[in-house]
Amino acid sequence: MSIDRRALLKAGAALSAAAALPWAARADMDFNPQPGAWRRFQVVTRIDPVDVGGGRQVWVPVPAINEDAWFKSLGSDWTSNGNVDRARDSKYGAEMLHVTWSDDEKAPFVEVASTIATRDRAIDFSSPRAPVQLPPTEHALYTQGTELIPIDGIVKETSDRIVADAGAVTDLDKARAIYEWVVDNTFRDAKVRGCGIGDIAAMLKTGNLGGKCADINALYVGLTRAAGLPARDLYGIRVAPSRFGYKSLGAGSQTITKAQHCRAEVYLERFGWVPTDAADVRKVALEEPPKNLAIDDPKVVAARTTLFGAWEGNWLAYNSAHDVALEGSQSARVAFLMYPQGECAKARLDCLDPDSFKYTITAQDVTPA
Amino acid sequence: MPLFTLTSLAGEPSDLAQVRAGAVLVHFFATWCETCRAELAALRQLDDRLHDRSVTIIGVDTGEVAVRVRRFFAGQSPPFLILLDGEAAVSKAWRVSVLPTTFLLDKNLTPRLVAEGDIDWAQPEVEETVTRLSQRSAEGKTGRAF
Repeated sequence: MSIDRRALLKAGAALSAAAALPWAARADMDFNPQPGAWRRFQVVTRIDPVDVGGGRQVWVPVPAINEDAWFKSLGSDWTSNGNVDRARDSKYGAEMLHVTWSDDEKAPFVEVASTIATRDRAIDFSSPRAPVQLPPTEHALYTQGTELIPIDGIVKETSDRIVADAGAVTDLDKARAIYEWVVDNTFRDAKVRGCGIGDIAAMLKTGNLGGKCADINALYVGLTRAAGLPARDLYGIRVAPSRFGYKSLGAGSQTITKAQHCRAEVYLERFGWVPTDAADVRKVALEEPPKNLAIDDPKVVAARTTLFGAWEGNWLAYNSAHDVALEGSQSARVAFLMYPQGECAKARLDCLDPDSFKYTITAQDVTPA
Repeated sequence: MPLFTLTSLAGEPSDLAQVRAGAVLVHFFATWCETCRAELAALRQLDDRLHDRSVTIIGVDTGEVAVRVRRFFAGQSPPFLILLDGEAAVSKAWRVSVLPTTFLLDKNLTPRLVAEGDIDWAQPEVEETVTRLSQRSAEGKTGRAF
């Protein structure tokens, strides 16, 4: 299945600086994920929770996404000297292992090995199908606001303005207009720890549209939902380098402890769930060597063009959950479940500091020869 | 603004009504917020200058686990009393939507001023405003600042 990039940009109704660029700006880039062979990965999470008191417990996200076209969760096995229960978020289906230890356990640990299969995915926008709506319950789930992704007030005002300014009429036009706006107006702030908290109303209110993937892609999801389109974040972790040469868009080694990344999807009636990743476009701009690339750099242009409608299959998808309750926790819900979570002495551990938590995550390509 | 009791960095419960001598600046921040980090240093200097004028500065860390905040301040004396609003309950009750946000309450804990975003606390007029409003009675209106 091929995608004519020229037809893509002609068909898109978004007006942006990139749309006006000469084609020579991207002639030497070939960032073109296409569904092909499946790859299989094993991801191992090892946790040795810090001993600062009793009541130690951890929650380990395990893959729960299954999509026929591009992702299969093939199960998780574990080894531990604690008590392990499998838990599932009832609203979004996020899955996790909940592990507890007795207070007299001297060296608590858990090791979780998850196996997945994944491949590239790409939407052929030149071949729309007959319209298919999401079932009502799913439509409601993916068009509602969340704690950190409200869809009213300034979010709604901004979404309406983006759509109006672009003259967007169809759902594809609206989704693309918002994507282009997010790319144009956000920047990836590498100083934000972890993946940010995704408070999109504050982002818009302050005008500080920086942040990492959870912020930028949450902004896309919120603006798109405010436009009436179902959209969702998918929380996961990079498991392999990019095969298209992007150093910033893949895992640099088998140790992926800090390679968490979230992506976003929008549901379009003639195309189904469409992959997007405005955050990664900005990541390329900030981090792709030689770094701090201009918006019209060929590498950025290629990423921008591709990441509305396609993803490379070098990433594990855990879930699409927001505001996740951790069974047995003494603390509040987590905005998203993409990192191991833990508590000791009724206080939550810092999931963004794996060295002190502590945990490691590794990934290995186990595709059969 | 509803009164609150939060745990301090030292692990002790601190009641807003009890921890201040007169007026109070309640400053909501987070360690991940680069703007907030820069402002903490400026607020420390303001605290030094206001020392004898009965204005207490209280920092409220919003939405972060305690261990992360303690690690941030490890190796340095906190600039002023730091309280932990790990679940952002107080922040929500005070309708904080932007970090940093600072409230100035007079000696009767009546809000006199709200500042959303960072402030140049080194500006003389800012310090004068804080001093002047903190000395007013409870009568009068609350305004947006700076």
